[in-house]
Amino acid sequence: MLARFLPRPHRTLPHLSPSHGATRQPAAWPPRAASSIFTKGLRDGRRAYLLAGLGLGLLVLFYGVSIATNYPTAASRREAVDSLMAVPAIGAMTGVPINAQTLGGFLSWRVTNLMPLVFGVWSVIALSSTLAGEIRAGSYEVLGAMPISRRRIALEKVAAHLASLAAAAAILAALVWLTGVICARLPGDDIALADSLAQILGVALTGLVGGAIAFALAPFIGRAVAAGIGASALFAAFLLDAYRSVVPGLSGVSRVSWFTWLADERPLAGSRDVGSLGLVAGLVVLLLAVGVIAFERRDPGSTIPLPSVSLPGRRFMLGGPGREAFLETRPAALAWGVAIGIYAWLVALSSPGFVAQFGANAEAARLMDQFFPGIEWRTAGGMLQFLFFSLGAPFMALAGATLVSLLASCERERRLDLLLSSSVPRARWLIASGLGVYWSLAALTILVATAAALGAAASGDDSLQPFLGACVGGLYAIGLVGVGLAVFGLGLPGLAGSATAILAVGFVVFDLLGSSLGLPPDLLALSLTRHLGQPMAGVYDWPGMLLAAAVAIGGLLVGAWGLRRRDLST
Amino acid sequence: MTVVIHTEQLTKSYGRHRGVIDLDLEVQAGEIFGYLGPNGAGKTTTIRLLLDLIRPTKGRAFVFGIQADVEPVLVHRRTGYLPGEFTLYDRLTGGETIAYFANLRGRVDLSYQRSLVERLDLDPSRRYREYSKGNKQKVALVVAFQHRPGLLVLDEPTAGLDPLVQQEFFKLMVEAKAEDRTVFLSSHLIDEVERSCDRVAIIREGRIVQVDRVEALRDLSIHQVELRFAGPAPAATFEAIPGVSQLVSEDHALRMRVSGPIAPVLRAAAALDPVDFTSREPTLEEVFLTKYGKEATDAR
Repeated sequence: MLARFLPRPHRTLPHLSPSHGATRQPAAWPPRAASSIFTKGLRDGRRAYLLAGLGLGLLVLFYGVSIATNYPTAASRREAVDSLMAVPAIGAMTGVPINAQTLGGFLSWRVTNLMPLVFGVWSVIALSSTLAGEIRAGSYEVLGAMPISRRRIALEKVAAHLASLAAAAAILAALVWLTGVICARLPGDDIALADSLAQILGVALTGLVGGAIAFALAPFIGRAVAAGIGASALFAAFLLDAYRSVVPGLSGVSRVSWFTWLADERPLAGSRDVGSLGLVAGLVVLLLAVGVIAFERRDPGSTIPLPSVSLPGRRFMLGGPGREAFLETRPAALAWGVAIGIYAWLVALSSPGFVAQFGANAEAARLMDQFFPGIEWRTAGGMLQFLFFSLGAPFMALAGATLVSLLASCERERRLDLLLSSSVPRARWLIASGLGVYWSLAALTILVATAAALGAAASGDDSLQPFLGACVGGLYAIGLVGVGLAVFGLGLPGLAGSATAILAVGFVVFDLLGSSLGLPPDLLALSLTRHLGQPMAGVYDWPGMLLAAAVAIGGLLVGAWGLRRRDLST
Repeated sequence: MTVVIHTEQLTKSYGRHRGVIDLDLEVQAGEIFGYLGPNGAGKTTTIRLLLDLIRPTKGRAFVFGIQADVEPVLVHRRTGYLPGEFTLYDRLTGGETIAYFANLRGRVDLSYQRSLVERLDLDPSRRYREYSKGNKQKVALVVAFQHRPGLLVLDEPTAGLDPLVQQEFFKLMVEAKAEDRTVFLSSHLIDEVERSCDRVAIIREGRIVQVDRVEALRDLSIHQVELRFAGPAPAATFEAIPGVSQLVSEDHALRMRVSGPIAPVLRAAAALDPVDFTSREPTLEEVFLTKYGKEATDAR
């Protein structure tokens, strides 16, 4: 009522008012904005497609230069292929080589065959969140009231992602073609632009299936679970195809993998299978159509409840903020756990085949003896240590990075303002929430460890060592997450997840490059991955494990100290 | 008069949870229709059904004679919507957000759009994530009003707005009404509804419990009566009168609540020669409290 007696507002926008300061030009009205959902999606995704296209393209160029320099003759290329394929367990990861004596054949075998995973992860994240994320955030309330049908909204969103994917693929294909121009040394090394485009189309389409699965499921089960299933399906399909040549038992099952369907579609190697490409395209269209129709017909945000994991009680420090952090990060943790667990399970299940192959090749066996001195590598644990742990542990840490990002997002989304206005002190909040994230990582670790143990048991081997080894990987991941929590507490919530991810990837790259470059052992010892022992084979590095635990606890304490002292970001 | 909103036994249930039940509503063209109810009564569910953001379990909703879940795009074309809870795009500025939604609609009068930005005192150059709650609300208000829709559906529209901007907002609603446009105003703030609405529907626990003109709701209810006498107050005389309740006697004064016709009380009082008589018309809030209990106004 008081408002009736207040003066009428006569305020005008400073920058729209003609009387405003002469030094400042009035802003143009209306501001420029996207003209459709499609163009907005394309604009929002421009960083992703530039990064993916240029990043992957430069990788191809780098490999091309390396091939031209190190393998200038057809014989040297054949020799390189033979030496890698001598251990099929490793060679299988990139599929069967086709015309690998040519530049295009070599590139399609060693480089582009792994790229569907990149396109796949991107598609899973983008397509699972394009509609469900908008509903969760609340912007769909306004968008959904626009005079645009739900079907068109969904189609424009999908089209925006497909266009982004096509843009990245076009950049990548151009750089593949350029690699052919720059690096061709032998007859048959030339790469036609049409072949380059066709190869990358297949790569993008293969990855897109994972995203399309997530898109089709998201209206029913929500964004996080759909993304988890999409990512798990992507990795499972890849691994089934990769190991089918090594594990005879997988050859039947691998027929469900779309990676297997497209095994012969290698335009860069001169091999075409347009029918299978059409089949995969049809599958993508079908899945996307399911997603569009489900979005059109179902109430937005109304999902089918899935059974959830029961929570430990307060005595496990999971009351209050810890419980909330656990619940917030649990779906992503479980999704990662399933995906990495499938990887561990397949390796463990395949271990007898791998052991037989290594044993059949004297040179390979000698190398393994050299690599694992005094350790029995002819076991499931040994094979897991060799073929899983060096990638599995960093993957677990990368999973941890996404969990820290989720926790830190509460500051950007202003939930932290409310949380910290409660009676919970800041330091206690960060410690409890951090422990919640650690519990999620523990759940992830148990999934991976159980999968490794089951795989080992199924192959008739000891299952305890694989289980304990995976737990060491989880401890490593928790340590790196501690660093992310410290970064969050110290005032950089946007970098919390990145800090963990950079360390996870950085240690692996540093380890690999450092060894290749012959860096001094003292310098190489800075990498935490060098202090984990060979736990899946039963060799533990206790000081390293204690260090990982200390980093986890220290990160929590530093983060708590930082959050106590700083302003919340605006 | 033309009916703009019409619902027939509109029902939405969320499994075991109640949504809204058998809603029968009619909103006429050119009126400001208040939709009043406590938190969780089903106001937002009703609105989301009207706009086909969710689908009914039973019954139908018509907007401008168009069944909402059959031709939602036609409904949206003529409707402006301000959600009660929303967020928009963090990376866009307020101006870009407004322009984006204008582009999605098409045919928005840019001078009117600009005037709305000015009148609501919005700085459109800042990023959405930098806005306060009130400024975010202003962005959404401009998005809802900018195409001069025939129906404005506003869910808790004044949340976060300062009094000056609230005043400007009420003016915008009055202007819409003057142009024979319709406003469906959902609120839990009784004075907001009382101040601006022609008619009001009261929803409680998913059901419409009353629809009437704001004045009529007051009239049909109760009067707060106070009588003063030169001598001791004769409470017994009034106790027997139908409709009298909450009779309180203090020295020479009597206070009572009278439901229904007040004439019997006036006649009885006149016979007793009172020295003073006051009868106060109840506010809508008092009506609400009386009819639906204190718990129904939890938001107050």
